[in-house]
Amino acid sequence: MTVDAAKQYIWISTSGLSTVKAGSLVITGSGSIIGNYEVYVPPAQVDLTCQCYVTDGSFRKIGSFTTVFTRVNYATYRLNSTKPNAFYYCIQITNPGGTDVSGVVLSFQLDPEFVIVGSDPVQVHTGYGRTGLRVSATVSYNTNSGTVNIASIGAGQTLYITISMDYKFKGKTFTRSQVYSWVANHPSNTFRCTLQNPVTCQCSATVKDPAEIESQWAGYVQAATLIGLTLTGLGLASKLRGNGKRKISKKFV
Amino acid sequence: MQSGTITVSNDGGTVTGYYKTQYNVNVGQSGVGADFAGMVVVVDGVSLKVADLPISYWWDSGSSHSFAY
Repeated sequence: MTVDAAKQYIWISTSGLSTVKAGSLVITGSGSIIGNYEVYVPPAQVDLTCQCYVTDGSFRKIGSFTTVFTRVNYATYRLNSTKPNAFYYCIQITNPGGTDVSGVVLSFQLDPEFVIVGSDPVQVHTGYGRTGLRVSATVSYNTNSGTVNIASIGAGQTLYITISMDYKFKGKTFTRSQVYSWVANHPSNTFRCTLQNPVTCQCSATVKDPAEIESQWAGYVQAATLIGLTLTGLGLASKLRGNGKRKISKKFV
Repeated sequence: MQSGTITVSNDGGTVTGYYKTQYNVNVGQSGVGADFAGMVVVVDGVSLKVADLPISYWWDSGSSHSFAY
């Protein structure tokens, strides 16, 4: 059957003298043959867009964070904290179409250096960050990845998925050479999200992570000198802060 | 011929009409709106639109006819 541009029909059945869509009739009596059609309604065009980014604990977008190493002794450093000290991986899903989109499934993968933290770490809200109404979603996750199932995203609606995470090396100790290598070569961190259903969409966010070394060792002058010499040899910058701490940093920004 | 005038001769005679059975078959559709401009069914190679339907045929008994919705 020819398809009309404005409206389409699909054959459903044939009744009367035949039940097939097409064939031959051998005439053995009077009767009727009726083709039964229904209006064909094409499925609504589904379109979702996704964006993702990393934020601090107050949902301010960040493009980098600082790992702060504190000197424990001559040969050992502890990654004492990060700046900022709290992180969220945020995924923003928008339904720009005129109809609701149901059965939305997405998966996310944090950078291997980050872990999901908190008792209720993956949440969905109608507002940026964790504002507006909380949206019920089926969430599953492990150390640093997971999936989120959302029953429906309304027409024109944007939902905000927030994943509470932290830098997994916090509190760990490192040798001096490890720290120097870290300062010089540590790669950026990348976070990924894939919308699996009903349409595919992918987004990722990358943050750089410059290091900062704080020396609180009693012999800081000597240590700072030693570190300074080494870091200077590596082409790194050093500066002396007014609080009496020796800080040597390299920012890859 | 099926009809005409007979002039009766002196010898008389017989006029016989031979018949075959035909059946009435109606072809139609349901569900397609009147505004649909396309073809709905093809019967014996002839395309029929919504406005052409339903259509009635008298077909000989035992004859075969094609259709395609």
